[in-house]
Amino acid sequence: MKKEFTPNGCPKIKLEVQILNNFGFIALSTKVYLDLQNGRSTDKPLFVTPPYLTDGSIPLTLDFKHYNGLLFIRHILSYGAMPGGIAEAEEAAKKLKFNYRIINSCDGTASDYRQSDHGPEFIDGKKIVYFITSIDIL
Amino acid sequence: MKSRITIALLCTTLQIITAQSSDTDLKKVEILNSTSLALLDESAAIITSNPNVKEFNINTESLQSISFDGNLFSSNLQGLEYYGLGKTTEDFAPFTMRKIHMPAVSGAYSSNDSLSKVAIGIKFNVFTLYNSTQKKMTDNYNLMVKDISEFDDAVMQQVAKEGYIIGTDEFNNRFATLMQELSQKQKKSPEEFADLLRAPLLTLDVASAYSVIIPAKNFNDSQSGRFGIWSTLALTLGRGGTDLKLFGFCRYLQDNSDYNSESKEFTNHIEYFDYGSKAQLDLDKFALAYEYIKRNGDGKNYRSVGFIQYKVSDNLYITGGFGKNFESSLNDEAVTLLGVRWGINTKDTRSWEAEP
Repeated sequence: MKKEFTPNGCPKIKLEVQILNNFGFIALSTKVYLDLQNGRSTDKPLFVTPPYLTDGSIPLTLDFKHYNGLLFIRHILSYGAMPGGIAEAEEAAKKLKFNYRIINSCDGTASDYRQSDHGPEFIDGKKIVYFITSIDIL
Repeated sequence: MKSRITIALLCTTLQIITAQSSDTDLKKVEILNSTSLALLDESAAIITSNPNVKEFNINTESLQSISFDGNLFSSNLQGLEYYGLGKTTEDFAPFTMRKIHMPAVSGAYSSNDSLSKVAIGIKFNVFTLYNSTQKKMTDNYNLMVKDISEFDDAVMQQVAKEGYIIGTDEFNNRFATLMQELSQKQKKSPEEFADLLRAPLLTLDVASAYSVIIPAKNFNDSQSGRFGIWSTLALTLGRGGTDLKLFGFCRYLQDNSDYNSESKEFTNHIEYFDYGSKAQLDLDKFALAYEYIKRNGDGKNYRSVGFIQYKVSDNLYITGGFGKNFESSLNDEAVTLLGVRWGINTKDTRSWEAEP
């Protein structure tokens, strides 16, 4: 189901992203893009997992303007340390949990979203798997 | 009464584990690591070590025995807590005791025509030592993150340049195609960090288990079976697909289940002290191993077993053991392989007689 967030006229929001991973994946990064849906896709992430964090999360961000765009979120994890290789990863990837929280900066109300929209997509050559989630800011 | 308590404990533990896991995957069978079966001397290998956190597993080594195992308190792990390393690179350390907070629990049910056994067990990974330094671990992790991030950025830029609209199926499909194509053209990603986690240099596990026996499958006649506490030290040499693992093992065992066929009673409170070692060679899909355990205390004995494990798929392992088990009135002396009995030394085996 398409994920949508209604800001109720507030121009700013905060975002927090978590990956619950008890299967042995090495969470490498989450990248968040804000696409303005003007026909020109952005290729520069707005937020990236801080380099010191090993859980692929995005800690609660500062307020940012959403411009009623589309939040496009991509998680990348490695299955290189899993003894069972890609077959073990294929089973485990289905059970990974993703939590997204958007907070309206004006009134502080939070909306929570679960699970990704697209994936798991496995890239054998790099021993990675990625997931994509989109949240439309109405 | 004791058996009912044990069964209740078994069921409760089962519920706790299944409640933590979103679903129970019967296909995920891994049969070398059940603390409960190890107590009963009924698994192909008694000396085992798998410090990794596991989901709930159901194990079957024969039609007469079934066991389960899984880790407690592991459902909300983040980052590299799975490997005992924590959520940030500052938590990296080659020596970690963090996994002690996630004990593995197990239960087993074993039965033949005249006797059933129920066992529960718990195992802790006391420490894990990785063959690296904190700086090297951090550097290798950062190298891995950087390589994948640059790869990902390159694909993202190309898809955007080609004019695909973000968030559409066309965008996602093109992104996936380009990821595959570019990964084939690029050199392999740095794997040192993943290799390090896959094969810790040294681990120490401590386990304990308790069992009851139920003669003639009559709960009213049930009684205390065995209590054991043991430790396993595992040293891994090599990384990647080929590893040599060397194990050291010692165990205290209190056995109330030795049956005297003359008095037709169980002998109470026999104490054993077992110690032994195992060598295991992991070769891609095959694992070959040999273990020897010497038994001292109220009875001199030994167990000498070779075993082979074949990985049919990454979720399904077939294990077989062949050799000599400890002599016991309740255990067969020969170790079996998937229902095919490979007895080497069957003379002197004492027979079990059910009480009338």
